[in-house]
Amino acid sequence: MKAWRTLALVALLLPCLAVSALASELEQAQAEAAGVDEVIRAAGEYGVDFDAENGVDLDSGLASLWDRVTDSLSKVWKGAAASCVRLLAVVLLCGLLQEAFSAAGGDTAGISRLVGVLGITAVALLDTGKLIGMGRETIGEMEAFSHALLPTVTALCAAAGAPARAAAGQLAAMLFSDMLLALIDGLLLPLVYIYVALSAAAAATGNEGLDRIGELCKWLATVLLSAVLLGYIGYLTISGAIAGGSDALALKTAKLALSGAVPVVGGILSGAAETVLAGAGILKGTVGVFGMLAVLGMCVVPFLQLGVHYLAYKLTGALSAAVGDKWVTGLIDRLGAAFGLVLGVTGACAFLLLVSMVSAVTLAVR
Amino acid sequence: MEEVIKISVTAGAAVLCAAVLKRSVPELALLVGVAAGALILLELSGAVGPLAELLAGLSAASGLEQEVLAPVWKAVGTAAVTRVTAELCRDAKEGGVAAFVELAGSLLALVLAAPLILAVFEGIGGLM
Repeated sequence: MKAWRTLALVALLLPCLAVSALASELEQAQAEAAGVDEVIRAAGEYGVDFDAENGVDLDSGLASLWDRVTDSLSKVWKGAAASCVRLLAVVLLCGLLQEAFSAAGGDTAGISRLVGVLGITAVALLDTGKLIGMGRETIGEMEAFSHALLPTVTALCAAAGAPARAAAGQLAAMLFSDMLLALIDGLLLPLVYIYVALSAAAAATGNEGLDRIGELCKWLATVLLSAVLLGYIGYLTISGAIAGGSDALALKTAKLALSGAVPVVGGILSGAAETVLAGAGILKGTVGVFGMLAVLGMCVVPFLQLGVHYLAYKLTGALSAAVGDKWVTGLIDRLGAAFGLVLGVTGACAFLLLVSMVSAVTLAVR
Repeated sequence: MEEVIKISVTAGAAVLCAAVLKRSVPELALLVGVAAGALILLELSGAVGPLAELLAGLSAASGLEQEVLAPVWKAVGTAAVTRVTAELCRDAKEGGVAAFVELAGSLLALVLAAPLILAVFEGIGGLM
């Protein structure tokens, strides 16, 4: 009797094992078809452990990001502090020179201001080149990653039963990210360089006009960046409301048609189709989280560098205002603002990708 | 503190002597002024040392090369010599000569600043 009971239990459990094996095979097949391997390859060293069946461990992904931040923090702070000490030394030196000139009979040629500008551009040359180059490199990495990630997420969103939302959201992300990258390379980064050069020239000559033109360049870069991001968010909001409704309607219609049109097994087929949609939905969420963690991994150290240098230059500008010439200390402020612009540009690219990942992960078809 | 008192005493004595001599021998009064100035500068030479060390330390910390700072020290010296010479000329009631001295000092300061201006614009070009 006991043997018969055991056999009956095994007979009941075997189909469950078969079903779970089939589900696992389905997820693997969907991952392969959507190109998830290419996404993992494109993420490179910034990728986390990916498992199509069990998903991405968000906690461990965030923990590794935090470790990356803490490892780099002291080195970044030391670099920024060294630049600030050199800048303060230049400002103090110029202050003393101005006093010497005042005692001697006046600085008719503005020599002390020229020395200040020279010293500050010499210190800033290293930082500016390194940080703007780092921003450019990060943007390039995100661009390359987005070329693998966005099409995969689009395919998975469509497979999860939201083709219109996929087209509206993810294709829009690809369009806007290409547009943003072209804008950054062609206009925004050159504007940053022009802003820095004009600020240095204005400080060297004491010319208010050059200073105002530099501020105009900075304003233009900020406005263009904000316009692209607002345009993208606005488009997502409008297209999501329209396309979401049409996807839900299309899905209901398809289910009804399938269960009604195919006799006997129509209901089973409709249920199986729902399983495929659910599997694609889970995979989409996993890839979305993986993508977010990879994008954050790419950005975190450059953000830290740019952010710390921005704060350090602003602090140095504030401290040196007490002892230095207004043009010289103003130049330090403007260099800090240039780092802020590069931070904003890099952040905009990351923001665009993260918003598209969040919209994909939270996508639900009713 | 002691240096300031010595300088003040020297200057006061020179002014009194010059005031007395001006009525009878104005040329000697001028020479007394020049001599007092030389004594004051000699007295300052001891105090300049710590200031020079501070400036050297700041220029080392800032990373500015000596080739950049050398024209600056020359410009400070030029401005000082120009001012003193122009004032002495005015004391001798030679305002015209004083004006020429000041003009020469300004032009020489510009000549000394020229390499700095070039270096600044090369630095700006490097940023671009």
